[in-house]
Amino acid sequence: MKKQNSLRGVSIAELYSKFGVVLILIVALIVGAILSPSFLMLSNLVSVAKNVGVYAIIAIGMTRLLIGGGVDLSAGSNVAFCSVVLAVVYNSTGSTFLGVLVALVCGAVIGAINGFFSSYIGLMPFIVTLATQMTVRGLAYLIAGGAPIYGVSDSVVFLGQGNVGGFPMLLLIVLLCTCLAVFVMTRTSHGRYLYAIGGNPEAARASGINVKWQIFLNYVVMGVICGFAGILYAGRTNSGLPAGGVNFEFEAIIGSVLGGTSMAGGLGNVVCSIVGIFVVGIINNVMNLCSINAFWQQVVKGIVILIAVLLDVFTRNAIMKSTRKR
Amino acid sequence: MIPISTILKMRNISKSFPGVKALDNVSIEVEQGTVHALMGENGAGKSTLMKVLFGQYAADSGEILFEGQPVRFKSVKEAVSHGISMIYQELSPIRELSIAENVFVGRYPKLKGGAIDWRAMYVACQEIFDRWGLSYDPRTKMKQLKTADVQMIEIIKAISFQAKLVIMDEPTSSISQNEVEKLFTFIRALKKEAITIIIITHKLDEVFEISDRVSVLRDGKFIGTKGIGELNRAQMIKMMVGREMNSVFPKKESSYGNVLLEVRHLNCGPKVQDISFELHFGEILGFAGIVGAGRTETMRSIFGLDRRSSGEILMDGEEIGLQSVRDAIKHDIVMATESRKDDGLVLCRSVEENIMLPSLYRRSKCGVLNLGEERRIAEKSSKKLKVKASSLSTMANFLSGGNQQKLILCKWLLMNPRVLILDEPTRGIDVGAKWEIYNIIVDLAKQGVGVIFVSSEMEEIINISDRILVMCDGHINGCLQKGEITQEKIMNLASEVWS
Repeated sequence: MKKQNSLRGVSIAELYSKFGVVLILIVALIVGAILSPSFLMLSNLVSVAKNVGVYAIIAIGMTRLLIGGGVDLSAGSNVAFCSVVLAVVYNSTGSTFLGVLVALVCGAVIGAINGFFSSYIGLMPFIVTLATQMTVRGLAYLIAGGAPIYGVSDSVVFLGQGNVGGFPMLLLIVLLCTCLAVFVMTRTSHGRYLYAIGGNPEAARASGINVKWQIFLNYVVMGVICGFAGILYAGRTNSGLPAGGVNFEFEAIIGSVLGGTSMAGGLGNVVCSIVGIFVVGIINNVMNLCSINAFWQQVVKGIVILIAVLLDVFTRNAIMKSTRKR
Repeated sequence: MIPISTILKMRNISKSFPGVKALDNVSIEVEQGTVHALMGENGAGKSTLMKVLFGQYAADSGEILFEGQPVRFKSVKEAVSHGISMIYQELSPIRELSIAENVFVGRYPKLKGGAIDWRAMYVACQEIFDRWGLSYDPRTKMKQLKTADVQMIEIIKAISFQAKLVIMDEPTSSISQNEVEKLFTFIRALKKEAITIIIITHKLDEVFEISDRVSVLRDGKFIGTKGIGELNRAQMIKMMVGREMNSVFPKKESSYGNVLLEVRHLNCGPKVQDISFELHFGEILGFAGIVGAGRTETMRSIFGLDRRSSGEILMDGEEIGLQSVRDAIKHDIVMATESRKDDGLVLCRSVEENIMLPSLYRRSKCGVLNLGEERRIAEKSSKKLKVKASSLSTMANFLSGGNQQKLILCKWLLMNPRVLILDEPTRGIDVGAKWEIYNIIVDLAKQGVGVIFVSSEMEEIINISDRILVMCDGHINGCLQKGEITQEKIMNLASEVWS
């Protein structure tokens, strides 16, 4: 009898870690609809989606990192830096292609630095990326000369603000990137390796996986994703903003964890993280619609983070504690 | 002359775990001011008994008398406050702090107002060292000390708590011969002060050197307590081994082919010293020895998990220059590691993912997996080894120990190895699963696979192996051919100190 109960507890935890966020999304939608009549209007929902688009892109990379047992706190700075780089290169050369390319390369280099120190040198990713967060932010200001640089090319603006047949381009990009990420995480050896490394790095190593290289690669990909997010961000604001992108990494982490990605690694998936990002976006939107004081909004958000982390710990414990001791 | 009295009495202690009777009506008496050796094979129940004493496990039945008073400790801390301390095999000092800080941690002498009186602490520590004739500087950082010294400090710490009974778990397993002498001198000094020592060890020589009385456990049962004078080596081994060999083991003709793998002068840290051996086609080569003899370390360095400092590994007579695990796998050398939890499985991932993990790189095309084929392969291999799991997507964590062990075998057998290294493949699993694993091993050997079988269980290693190498202190101490293998011979080789 007791055994059955504990088994049921496990399956609930397992279910939650897989689909719980969908339930939360539905609840958020219902609550939103009750609290504000304009919430369910299409234009409002589209604006929510547009608002979280850049977060969603970063969350894809963040989920990959969390699954692999890492984290990146420099993501927001990286986004700002790359948006500035894009604006600077575009304004001095007039070439969109060159601007985009240099921005992506810069993102990759920052990712590579994070990866090198976290993986090959073995420092804590938390500290490494905190250091790059500051450094990169400083560099962004230096390159921009301390002020926003206005004007990026029309095609970049189109990526951030345009519509395709009434459908926001940004959302389309999020969709495509999610599909690509799902493919990589579930159908390539690289994805499998990341899950294994996050779940148990020693076992991964003992299975012949080049753990350090895979972790390094993961950070480089995160850097490229941040570079890409920086381009979209520049498109949305039609500028390179050295002061932009603040706390984007936390938005991404909250979304991922709310989506059931474990901070301890090895568990999670990209789709749920994206849903988690949307949930956070909806909570923000509803609070705005109800014109809740901005300070209270921060309080609420902090509580949401706490709940998300509690859920993470609860599910992981429930799943892992059932280890039979023999 | 101190009158001899019984300091510790454990009476009719029983303790069961699901499926195992770890302690079966064990009674033991320890006399004050003696060194009492507690012996037995791995899994005989020694550590369980000590955990019951310290309250880490609650006994199902039985009582404990300390200095004549019935006690039932709820925590290690409570036991310590009554004067019982334990020195664990794995020491965990606070490495960045000084010796004195480690000795007094949690009870620093205080000045008025609550600040720590550092001077008084160092003086007090120095006093203890002077009293016992030890030449440590209380201000030395713990991290500068060697394992043996850390152990001494741990003992000092225990004594400074007014310990009357000090229990040492395998204190000599990771220290050198000279250091053992130093430790024993110290133990004798303690004895003179009427402090009682229980020493848990596998090394027979040391038992004869240091202890006054010996108690033996076997399979959770108390076998007996004898004065050291009443026993010789052979009698002691008999007490420890005792049982008849009556289980059925799969039969295999003890024949094997040419040399498949040759290891020459392998060195890797203190536990792998100048290891040389040959493994033949279709041979099951047992590696026996006590825990900590360096068998796991040897295997890890062959497999590329630890970088060897020197030595050659030859396959089919050619040096293959192994550097990493991937290199070893590419040469069809695989190793099922000792611990399921630490480096065997990714417990939070599915059965299928675990099975496929090492072979992904072979089966994927440009990194892209073929999920359908993968599922078929995983299904086939898990059926072949009779892995009991509700589905292939079940988390490995939900499987029983035996099935997890089979999962590890599954993942490596998929690689079609030519050399299969198994490190304690049957540890902690039940008899049925063990038997199935023996069968798999013997089948593989019949197909020409060279199997290296590391095990601490005498019975299985004797019955499965064609040849046994016995390791002790990082060296290969001897080789026994099938037919001449006996438990006594293995024990002798395993406990002989390398000189």
